Amino acid sequence: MSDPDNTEDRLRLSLHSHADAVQVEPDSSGLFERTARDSVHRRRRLGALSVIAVVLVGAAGVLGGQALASSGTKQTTASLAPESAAAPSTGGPSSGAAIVPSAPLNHLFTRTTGDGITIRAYVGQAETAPTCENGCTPAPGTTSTTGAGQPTPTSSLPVPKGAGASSGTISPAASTGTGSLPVMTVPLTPVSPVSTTTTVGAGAGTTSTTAGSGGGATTCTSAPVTIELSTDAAVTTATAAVETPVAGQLVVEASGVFGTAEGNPASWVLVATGSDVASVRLGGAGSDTMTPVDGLAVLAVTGSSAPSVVALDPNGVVLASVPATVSSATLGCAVTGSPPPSSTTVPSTVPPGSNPGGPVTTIPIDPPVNSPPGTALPLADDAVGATGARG
Amino acid sequence: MDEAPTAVASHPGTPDNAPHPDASTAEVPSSPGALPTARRVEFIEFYEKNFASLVRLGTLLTGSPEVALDLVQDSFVRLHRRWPSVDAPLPYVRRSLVNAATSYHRRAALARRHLSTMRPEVGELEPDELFDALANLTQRQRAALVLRFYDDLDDRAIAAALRCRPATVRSLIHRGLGELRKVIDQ
Repeated sequence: MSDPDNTEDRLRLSLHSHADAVQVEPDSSGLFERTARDSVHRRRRLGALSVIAVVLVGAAGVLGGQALASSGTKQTTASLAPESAAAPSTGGPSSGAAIVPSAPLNHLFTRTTGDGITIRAYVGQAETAPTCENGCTPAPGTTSTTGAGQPTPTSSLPVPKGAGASSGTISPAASTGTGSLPVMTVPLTPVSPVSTTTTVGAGAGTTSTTAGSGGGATTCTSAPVTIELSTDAAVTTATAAVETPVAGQLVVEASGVFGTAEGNPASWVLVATGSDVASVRLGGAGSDTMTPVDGLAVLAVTGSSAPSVVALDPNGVVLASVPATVSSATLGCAVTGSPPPSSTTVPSTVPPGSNPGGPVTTIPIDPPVNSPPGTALPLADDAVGATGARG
Repeated sequence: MDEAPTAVASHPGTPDNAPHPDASTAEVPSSPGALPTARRVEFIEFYEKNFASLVRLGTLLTGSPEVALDLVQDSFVRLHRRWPSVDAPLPYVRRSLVNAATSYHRRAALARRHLSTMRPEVGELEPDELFDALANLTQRQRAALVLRFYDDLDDRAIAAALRCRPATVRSLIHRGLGELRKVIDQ
């Protein structure tokens, strides 16, 4: 057995002898060259890791976005529409009745216009008003209607649905009245100068007509319609209460503009049509056309203002044309047959003496603020049935 | 390797706490990414003082001066990276060198398994039974013996270099010497 101390001494001697045999000189330049190389390699590794991290984060973002998008699509009819109803429009002004749908919405249609505007429409559960005076019940939050507060109408003749528009040949020379016609319901079929709603007015040679919705106290249903529109630059949502049945064959329920702040404005219009309307389109170049779905159509076009809306029959014949803007009178059940704030007698060109003793019916006309009563109503000779409320 | 030991151990011929003499900045080679001038001067002085002894230590740990040279340079590169924050540079670089030697032996053992013709690097030194017997020890036993009988470090300093407890150091040294005695007896 070897001596422990001897082993340790021999080992110490061996190690020192081998170490002393190594003769080296410090190489500072080599060291710093290696340091520089190490620094470059570290930067490259860091850069590569950064790129990988960015790619991974981007991929995770894309996947997460797709997952959210797919889940959001599934929830559209159930949850998205009520949320959007709280803020009915973003990106631009719109008009229409603000209805918060309380029931789940049903998808009505989805379409993309030629201008690349995607439109989605949903309809909620229809609510039946217990008793509607003259066929309509104002929707909650609807703008005040014309004629509200007037105690009694001048005339309340029952008028069938769809024929509520007043008619009659109005002589511009004899006509009186001012202001704009408050509603845009247009009868599709030409109406005889003296319709069932017409009574012969008092006075020699005058026939007066009754404006407002036809029909007396009826029950009407109001269904909230939510539409979502989107372009590459902006999105918007809007809701409107659409009355059924539609009194006229072409009713502008709501309209608006969105994307103005984003520099890409688009105009849209929600119309309700009668059953005999095959298609509706926006007038003007680059117009949008669609076939109504359940009597509803949404048209959209790029630009800050939409032209008129035209209703076509299956043969392509223009049935009606109205401006693509909605007036307050058409919002919800705006015009319910209530008497106007001011009734203006509009004599028509009925031969004198035809009904000299009859009552005088009136056309409700909003009096302009700056116009004195009795200002002449600028109507053409063949102006027929320019007014009438939805019922 | 990444952890700077706080204990300051002495090194033969290189006192750890010796103040660095002033040196002209003109003599300091520049390096990219580099330290401020004063720090760079300190680092170069430390490097020039301890380089040779660390290469010798590395030679005893690896059995090859060339390999030791490479490992010592790498250890100094790591030290340069952390120079401003290292309180005790010599234990740090020694520990870094021991770790590098361990890694070298691990890679060499792996290479020998795949290349049966590869011979150990210890053949480059002069024939010495006892020194050759070191190659048969485990790397930790060899490092413990070298640090004890060449660097004259105590158990605590060796434990810091090997990242183990002092009792483990004593065990490693005892077992390593036992293995060497067997070789001597044979």
